[in-house]
Amino acid sequence: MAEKERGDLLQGTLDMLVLKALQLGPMHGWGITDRLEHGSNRVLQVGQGSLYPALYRLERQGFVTSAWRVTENNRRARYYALSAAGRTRLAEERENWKRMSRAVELVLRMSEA
Amino acid sequence: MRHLLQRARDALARLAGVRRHAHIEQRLDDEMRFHIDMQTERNVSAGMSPADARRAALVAFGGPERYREATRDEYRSRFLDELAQDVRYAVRTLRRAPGFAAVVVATLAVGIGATTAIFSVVNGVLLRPLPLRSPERLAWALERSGDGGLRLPSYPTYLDWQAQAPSLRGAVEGMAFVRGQTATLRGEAGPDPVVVAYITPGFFALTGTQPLVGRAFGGDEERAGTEPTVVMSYGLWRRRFGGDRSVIGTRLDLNGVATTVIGVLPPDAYPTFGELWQPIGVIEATDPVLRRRGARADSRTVVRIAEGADSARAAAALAAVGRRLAAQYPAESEGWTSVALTPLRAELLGDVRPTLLTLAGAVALVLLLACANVANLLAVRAAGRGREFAVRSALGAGRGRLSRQLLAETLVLAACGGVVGSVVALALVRVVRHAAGSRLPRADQIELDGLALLFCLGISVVAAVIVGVSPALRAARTNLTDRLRAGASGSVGGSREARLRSTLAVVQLALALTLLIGAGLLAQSFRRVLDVPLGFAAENLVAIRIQPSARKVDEPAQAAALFERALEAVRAVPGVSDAALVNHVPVGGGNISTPVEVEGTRERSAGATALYRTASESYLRTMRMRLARGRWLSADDIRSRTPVFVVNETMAKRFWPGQDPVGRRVTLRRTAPGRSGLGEPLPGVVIGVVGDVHQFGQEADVEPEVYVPYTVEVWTWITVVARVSDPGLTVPALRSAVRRVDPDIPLGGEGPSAAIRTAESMVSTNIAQRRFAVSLVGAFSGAALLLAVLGLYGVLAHGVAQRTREMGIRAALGATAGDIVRLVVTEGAKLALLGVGAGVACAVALARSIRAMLFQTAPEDPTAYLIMAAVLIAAALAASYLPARRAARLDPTAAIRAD
Repeated sequence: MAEKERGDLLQGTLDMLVLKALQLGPMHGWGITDRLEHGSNRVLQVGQGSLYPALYRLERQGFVTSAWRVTENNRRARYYALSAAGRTRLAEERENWKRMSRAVELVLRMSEA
Repeated sequence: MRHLLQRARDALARLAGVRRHAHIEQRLDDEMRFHIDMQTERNVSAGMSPADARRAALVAFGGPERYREATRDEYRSRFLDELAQDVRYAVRTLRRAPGFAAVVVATLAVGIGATTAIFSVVNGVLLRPLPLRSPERLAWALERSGDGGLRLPSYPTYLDWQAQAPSLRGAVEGMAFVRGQTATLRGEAGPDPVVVAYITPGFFALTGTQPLVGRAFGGDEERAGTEPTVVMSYGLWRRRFGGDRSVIGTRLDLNGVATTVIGVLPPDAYPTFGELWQPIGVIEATDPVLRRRGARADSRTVVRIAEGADSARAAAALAAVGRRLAAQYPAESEGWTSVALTPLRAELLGDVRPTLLTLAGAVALVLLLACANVANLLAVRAAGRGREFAVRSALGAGRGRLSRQLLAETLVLAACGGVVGSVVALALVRVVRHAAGSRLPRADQIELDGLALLFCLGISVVAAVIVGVSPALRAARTNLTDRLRAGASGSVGGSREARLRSTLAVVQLALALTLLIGAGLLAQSFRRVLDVPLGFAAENLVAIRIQPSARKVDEPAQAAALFERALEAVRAVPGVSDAALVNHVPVGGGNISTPVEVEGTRERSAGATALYRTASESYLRTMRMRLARGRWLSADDIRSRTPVFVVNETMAKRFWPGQDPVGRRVTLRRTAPGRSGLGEPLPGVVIGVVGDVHQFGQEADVEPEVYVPYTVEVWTWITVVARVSDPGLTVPALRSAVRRVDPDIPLGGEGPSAAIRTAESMVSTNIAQRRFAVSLVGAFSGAALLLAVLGLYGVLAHGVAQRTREMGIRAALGATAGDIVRLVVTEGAKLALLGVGAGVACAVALARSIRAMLFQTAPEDPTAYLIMAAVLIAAALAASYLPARRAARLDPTAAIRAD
């Protein structure tokens, strides 16, 4: 199955990725999945079952704001945008991620000797 | 810091989320639909058929319900969920301790129910606004004589005051006069007596009375004349016309005149004796009392004190007018040179105030006691669960969570107590409304007071929370190992908690004793009131007011003949052993007084008065009064209309101290309302002295009283008193006997205005308020005693349970069962004695505040204190004996091994 080849998102990384997707500009939920899938060359498949809870959570925490807007095709959609707090948060998460992936990489590079 | 802010924002967002639930659900749906639509479009552009595209989009989205649920979790308030969980858990826990829960709920219900009911009554009667405009500036005026006598201003006096209005400016804003008189309202069921309030122009404007339905009198109507109109009281409207608004515009047969109903007044309209209101012009020309200066008419002169002035200033201004009138009309007004103003509020609510405040105080003590009891029960329970809490806190339950759970338990108990308490309160309010009926002003409108209910519930919950939750928190804080080692009872810090519980028990005993002593003082006062001899035998005595229509009594001789026929008709009724005529029955509420001039006293004693009773020769015998000296009115005196007088002992003592009044000459004044000779001198000779009769009931002092042959001045109405074998059986026969004499005499009516009443009902009306207070305070103190004894029992029983091992060791070391019983009972007795000390101190401090309710009983009366302290100690010892016996019966080996 294709599922195996697509990476499951580590818990906690989804929030960071959503924030990153929104850093490119305000977007609705479907657009965010689209951005994430395109950006990852279709490796990352975001389940809607976790995307919307993540969006509501981020909004409640104040990292994201949302409003109804009209799309270019004249349809009503809820657009999410990064707040100032969200921007800071993204930077922090990014630092963490870098540290973490470097650490993981170091562990993986350990030679038997 | 940022972390904290973040959490606060989280909490706010969640709370907001709770309110926006519906809104957010809608948003979820919209977003999902948009998402699926977009995916469908994408699929179509990738070459799928629209149906397949949609199906694929839906599959990719996954189960919408799962997604919704997950999203909801993000915004729903976790707090409420956890609270619901706590409440469910609390209910489960309490169901495992049904006895405990039942006792707590019952205690709360009694405390909350009784307090709410009494505060509802206090609010309904004392605090609810009167239907008057700024009633604090309205007062009822009386003329006062130099030696402190009081009299109602006559109508001419009122008119003179009114004429002086310009000189009163700044002190008195305005005044009005209302005359109360019984009239006959003829309906389908026959003629009925109604009290009509005849008012001067501007009366309603002065008092600020607005009609509830219809209208009040217009300017011309108030000056009377045109078409006869009438305004009705709320009570009469409800009673007689079922509260039907269509009564407006109908015509009543009032004293034989077709009178149009134009309005209905709100409840409690002033004067409260009024059932119908009419302009005074209706009777001004025909009522001789209104023309006679200095004559007493059933009336009220109402004064509105000017804004910025006080009662004293208004009284002083009126007194200045009074002095001018005294100089101008010495015959009628000499000596009456000052004016007493009584606030209208006091007139309307006055004498129930001490009763209600006493009840409110008593019930507040009951509530306090109930709180102490609940707190005690919760403390015992919380301490007993010390180990449970220690374990749970060791397993990671936060203190917040533990206390929240206890809070939930307390709230569940309080809610149950509140619900049962409201039921108790509703029932009590109904009982009070029914029992107090006509005796308590405004009783018919007492409603259960929601605010009082909330207040009482709040106090109980706060008390329960403070005492019930804090020991649990301490328990959770203490070291787990200590706690577990302390054994089954888990009583680390036990001495501190035990002290708290003992203190609570002592407080309860003290409160109960305070109430018991109060109840004892009231009961003693009540017994002393009942012990006061009335001066006549009220048993099986029936009074029938005979009030024929005016034209039949215009002629005094004609009236006397009619009264004589009514008397004979009553005498002929089987079961009537004796009957007599009198103007006012003692204790019946109606009275009239006459100025008295005693021959031989040099200057006329200004303001000296005596109650004036006209009677027939059989009156002394029928009433079973006592003759002290001389003789009573004879049949000859009655027939020959000789002005001979019989006085009571109080009058004899006051006017002829140390002398024999028989043979003395005195001058009274003709007093019959509605007769032209009203106010004229009536000289005569004293022929006898009779024993005192308590004219105003046992509680009031006896006034000087003079008896005059009723034929000397025949009134336009009279009362037949009849001694019967059984009032219940005889009253219907009496009614038809009087009907046969004259079918137009109104014989209906209810309560105090009923035409036929038993003397016993009048006497019991007089003491009803006292009876009411005694029985309620008695019931409260009984409940208080029960609660306090339960509390003491709980403390001792818990102490015994905790000291099982100690008791076992004592028994093993040779303590007898008697020793152990003594040990426990001594502890109970110690607490009881502390309670007695504190209770007596409280009672001494508080008894003074019910002085107004005491009758021939000092607030420190030792009898009540001794008896009640003995009752409390006996109950406390009984409560101590049960746990003591259990301790004595313990098997020593089992007790030592326990836990």
